[in-house]
Amino acid sequence: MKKAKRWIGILLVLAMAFTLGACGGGGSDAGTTPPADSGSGTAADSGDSGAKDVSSLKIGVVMKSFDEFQQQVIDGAKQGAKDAGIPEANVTAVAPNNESEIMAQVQSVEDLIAKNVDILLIAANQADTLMNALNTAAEKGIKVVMVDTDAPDFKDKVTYIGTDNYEAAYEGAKEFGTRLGGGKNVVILRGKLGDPNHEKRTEGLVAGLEETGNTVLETQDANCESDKAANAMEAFITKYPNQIDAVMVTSDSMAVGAAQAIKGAGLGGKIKVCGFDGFQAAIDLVATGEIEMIIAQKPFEIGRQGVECALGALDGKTYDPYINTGIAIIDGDNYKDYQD
Amino acid sequence: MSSKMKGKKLPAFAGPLMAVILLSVILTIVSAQFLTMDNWMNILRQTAINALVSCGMLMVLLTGGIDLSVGPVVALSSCAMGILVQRGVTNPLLLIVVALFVGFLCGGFNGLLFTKLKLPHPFVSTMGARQIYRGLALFITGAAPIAGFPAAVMFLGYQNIGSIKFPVCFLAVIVIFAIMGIFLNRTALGRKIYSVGGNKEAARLSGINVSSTLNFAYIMSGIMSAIAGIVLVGRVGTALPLAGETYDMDAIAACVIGGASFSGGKGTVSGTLMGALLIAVIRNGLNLLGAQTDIQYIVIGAVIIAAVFVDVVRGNAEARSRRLAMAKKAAE
Repeated sequence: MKKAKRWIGILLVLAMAFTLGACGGGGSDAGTTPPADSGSGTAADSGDSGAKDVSSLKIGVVMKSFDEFQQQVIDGAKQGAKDAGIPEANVTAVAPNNESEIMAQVQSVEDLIAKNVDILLIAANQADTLMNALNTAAEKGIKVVMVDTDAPDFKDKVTYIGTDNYEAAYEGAKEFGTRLGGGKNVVILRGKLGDPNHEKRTEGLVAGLEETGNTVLETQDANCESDKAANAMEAFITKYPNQIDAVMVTSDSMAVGAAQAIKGAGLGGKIKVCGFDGFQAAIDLVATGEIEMIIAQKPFEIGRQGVECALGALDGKTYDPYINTGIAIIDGDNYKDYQD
Repeated sequence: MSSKMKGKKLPAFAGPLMAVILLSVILTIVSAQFLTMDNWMNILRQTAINALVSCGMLMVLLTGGIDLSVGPVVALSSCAMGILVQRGVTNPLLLIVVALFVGFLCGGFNGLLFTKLKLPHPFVSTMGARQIYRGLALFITGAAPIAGFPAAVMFLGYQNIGSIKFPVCFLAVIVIFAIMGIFLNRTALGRKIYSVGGNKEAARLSGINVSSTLNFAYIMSGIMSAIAGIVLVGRVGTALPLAGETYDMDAIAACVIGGASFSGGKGTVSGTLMGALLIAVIRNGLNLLGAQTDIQYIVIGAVIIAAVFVDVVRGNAEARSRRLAMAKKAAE
C-alpha cells in the first residue's frame, strides 16, 4: 500500500513535469513561428532565414489506415521534407487501424495540434466528422493540406492534392476498355459496400467501360480481401461460363486474388485482369503477365507535393483548391519503372 | 460422461448437415450453376481456410476460452514466409516450418498471457495479442503485400487433384479433422481439454494440469491458423498483412453452428466442419445469385441465431428427458 502511494506520487510528479515541459515546448514553438511569418513578409531575406527556420518545422501526416498506398503518401511527404531540408524525424505519421475508425482520426488531428505541428497533411476518412478539428488547426495557423481525399467544406485548406476517385477510375477504365476493343464482357470486384471511395471508383469503372462499348456483367463486393476476391471470381466463372473477357477491381488486393482464381480455373490469358492502386504484389503479376494493366494513382507524388505546397503556403504562396496528380497506367511495357 | 458425449455427437453434426442439404436443394432450384462439380470443388476450396481456423478455435472454445487473434496469426505467419521469400529464401520446407513456428509462438504467447499473467479472460488477452500480431505483420512487411512464393509452398492452397479438380487444401482439411477427431475423443490430452472446459475446478482437483492443457489448446489454435496462412498464400499467391480481418468471427460462427458452446466442454470437429461448410455454401450460393455483402451478412447472422436456437431447444429437451428418466427411476 505504502509502495503504491509512493508510485502514485512519482507518477504525479512526472505528469506535472511533463505538462510543464509541454507548455514550455509550446511557448518556444510559438516563439519560433513569428520569425517564419516575418521572413515571408520581407521577401528579400526569406532565402537565408527560411533555411534556418525550416529545420525546426514539424509536419504531421494523418492517413486513413495502414496499407501500401498510405505508406507511399507518407514516404512522399518525408521525401518532400528532406528536399526542403527538414529532418525526417520531424515528420509524424499516424493512422487509425481501420478506415471506419472515424473518431481516431479526429483525435490524431487534435493530438498533432497539441504537438504544435506547423504543417498537417490529412486524408479524410469522413470529412464532416473532421471539420471541427480541421478548423481548429487552421485557426492556430497550421497549414493544412488535404491529400488523397478531400474535405470539400473545409475552406481554409492550402489545397487538395490527389486524384478524384471517380475521375481516376473513369480514365483508367476508358484506357482498359479501349485496349479490350469494345463488345467485351467485364465483371467488377469492388471494395466495401458503403465506402465512398469504392462507390466512386465503381461508378467510374462502369462509366468508362460502357463508354468504350463494353458490357458490365455484374459487380460483386469482395471487401478488398484477396481470398474473398478469389471466391467471388470463382463464382463468376461458374455463373458465366466462357462469357467473361475481363475483370476490373477497385483495389489491387482484389486483383491478385482474382488473378490466382483465374489461373486456378485454367483461364489464364483468357480473362484479362485490370488492377487499381499499383501495389508491388500486383506489379509483380504484371511482370508475369497475369495482370494486364494497373490503374495507379501517384501516392508518393501526392505526399511530396503536399509538403511542398504547405511550405509554399508558409511563405505566403496560394494554390488552386484542387491539384490533380492524375493517373499512371502500369503495364507490360513500363512495369519495371514501378518495381521496388 | 462419455456416453453423454456420444449421444450428442450425432445431432450436433447432423443439424448443420441437414441445413447444408436443405440449402443445397433450394440453391439447385434457383441457380443452374450451383449443382455442378466445378462449383462444389469451389465450395470445398472456399471452406478450407475457415475450416482450419475453426478447428483451432474449437480447441479453445472447448476449454471455455476464445481466440480473437486467429486472423492476425494467419496474416503474420504468411507474412513471415513472405519476408523470407523477399530475402531470397526458396526452400519450401524451411518456409513452412517458419510459418508453423510463428503460429506456435503466437499460440504459446496467447496461452501464457492467460495462464501465467492470469489475465481475467482470454477475450482480453487475445484481443490485446490480436493488435500486436496485426501490428507485427504490418511492421515486418512495411504494410505491403508480398508475392513471388515458390510453387511448393503454394501447393497446399493452389493445387487440385485429378480430373474433378479436387482441391488439395480440402484434402488437408479432411486429414487434419480426422486426426483432431481421434485426438479429442481417444487420447487422454483430448479428454482433458473437454474436462477443463466442462469444469475447471473439478478438472484441477482430479489431477489435471489445467494450465498446460490450456496452453496446449491455444498453441493448437495458433498452429491451425498458421496452416490456414499457408493455404491462403497458395490461394491468393501473396502474403497479406491485412488478411483475415473477419476470420475470428467466421471461425466462431462455424464452431457455434456446429454445436460448440461458449461455456466450454461442448463441441465436435465434425459439427465444426459442417458449420464451416454451411457458411461456405451460403456465401457461394449468394455470390451465384448476385447478392451483395449486405444480404450475406443478414443471412449468415440469421443462420447463426437459428443454429444456436435449435441447439438450445435440443439441450432443453435432453435435460427434460433426463429429468423424466430420473423421476421414473426414483418412482420405481
